[in-house]
Amino acid sequence: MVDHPHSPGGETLVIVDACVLLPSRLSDVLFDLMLEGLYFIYWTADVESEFLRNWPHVHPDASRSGARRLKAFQRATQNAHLITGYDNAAIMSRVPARVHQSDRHLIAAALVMVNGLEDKSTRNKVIVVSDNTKHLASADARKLGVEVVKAGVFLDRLFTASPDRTIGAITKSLDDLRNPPYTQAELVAALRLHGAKIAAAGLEQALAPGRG
Amino acid sequence: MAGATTLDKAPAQRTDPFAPLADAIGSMTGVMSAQVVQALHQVLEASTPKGRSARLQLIRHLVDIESQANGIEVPTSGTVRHDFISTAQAAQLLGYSRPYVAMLIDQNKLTGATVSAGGHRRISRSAVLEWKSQHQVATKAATVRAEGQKSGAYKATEADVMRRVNALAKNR
Repeated sequence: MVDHPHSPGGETLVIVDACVLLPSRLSDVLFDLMLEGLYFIYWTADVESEFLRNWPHVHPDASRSGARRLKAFQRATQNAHLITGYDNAAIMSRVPARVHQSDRHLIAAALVMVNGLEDKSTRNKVIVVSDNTKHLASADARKLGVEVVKAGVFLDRLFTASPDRTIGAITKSLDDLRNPPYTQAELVAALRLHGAKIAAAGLEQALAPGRG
Repeated sequence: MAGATTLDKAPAQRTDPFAPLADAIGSMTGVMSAQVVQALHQVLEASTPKGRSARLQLIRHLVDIESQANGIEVPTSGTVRHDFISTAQAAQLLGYSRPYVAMLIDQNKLTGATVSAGGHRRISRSAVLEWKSQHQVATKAATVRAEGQKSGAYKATEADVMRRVNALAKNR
């Protein structure tokens, strides 16, 4: 049974932009929380293209491993990640005019999810997570049932809704690795960098010496 | 009376159950009713899985139309209950969200579904299980982080990555 704390009694459906998948520590945490069952994660073919195009520029020391990283993301979702049909004219025509041309696919994909909600109650949440919020006409999108938030805000919301499950998922993932790729302090700093101040403080507190 | 006895024993005249429907379709399309009758028998009486699926979909659809028109709560029982399930049930079987299942149905990726006049989708359980066997292949236990380590995803600091991502966004 779905138990999404940010949308009690409903589903939290998140469409992520490439800019939140590219930073490795941020995307690790997003997948920790998805795998814990706190929300469903989706993206589009345009996001995959942008991710693969930008990976070598963003990770010059691992420039050829973008496809491998993407494959790991896809497998984590059991290959149920890709929203299709968003380029349909009937969907695209509903995307607010003020949405930037290169980001229209994100709102259109969110509208595909809104269309699929047979239960139109506010228990369900459709959220676009992107750091380019100024390109996504948040106020206009909200009128269509789509929220647009930055990654840090989204992580803070999940932490606030369920601190135990959020922190538990992150610490378990780190503990499962014999040689974690980064220290706990680095991860806390990365969360702060992405604006997830509440989640960072909660994680820091949970990891403090003497805590269980 | 002999006449009455004869009448009682006369075999009842059998009417083809598809005849009224074929007549109606024939009058709308200009196709001979007899041809329509023949086609209906062929499609709906086939003993193949496809024929059975077509019959079940039709039954479900007709029940939906009738129940919604008259505000009747549909009792789900027997074959229909066991074969056709809601998007919520399909989502639970697959571990997907309900709108994702709806998207797969609407785009004919999950086939064999019906949509009621009220917009409620129903899908055959066997189609869902077939999708599951085809798409949810067991994967290795490697986590996203373990894969990331192998591929060098952590060589750059998060701050450097953010600077580069922001620079790319500005140059779009």
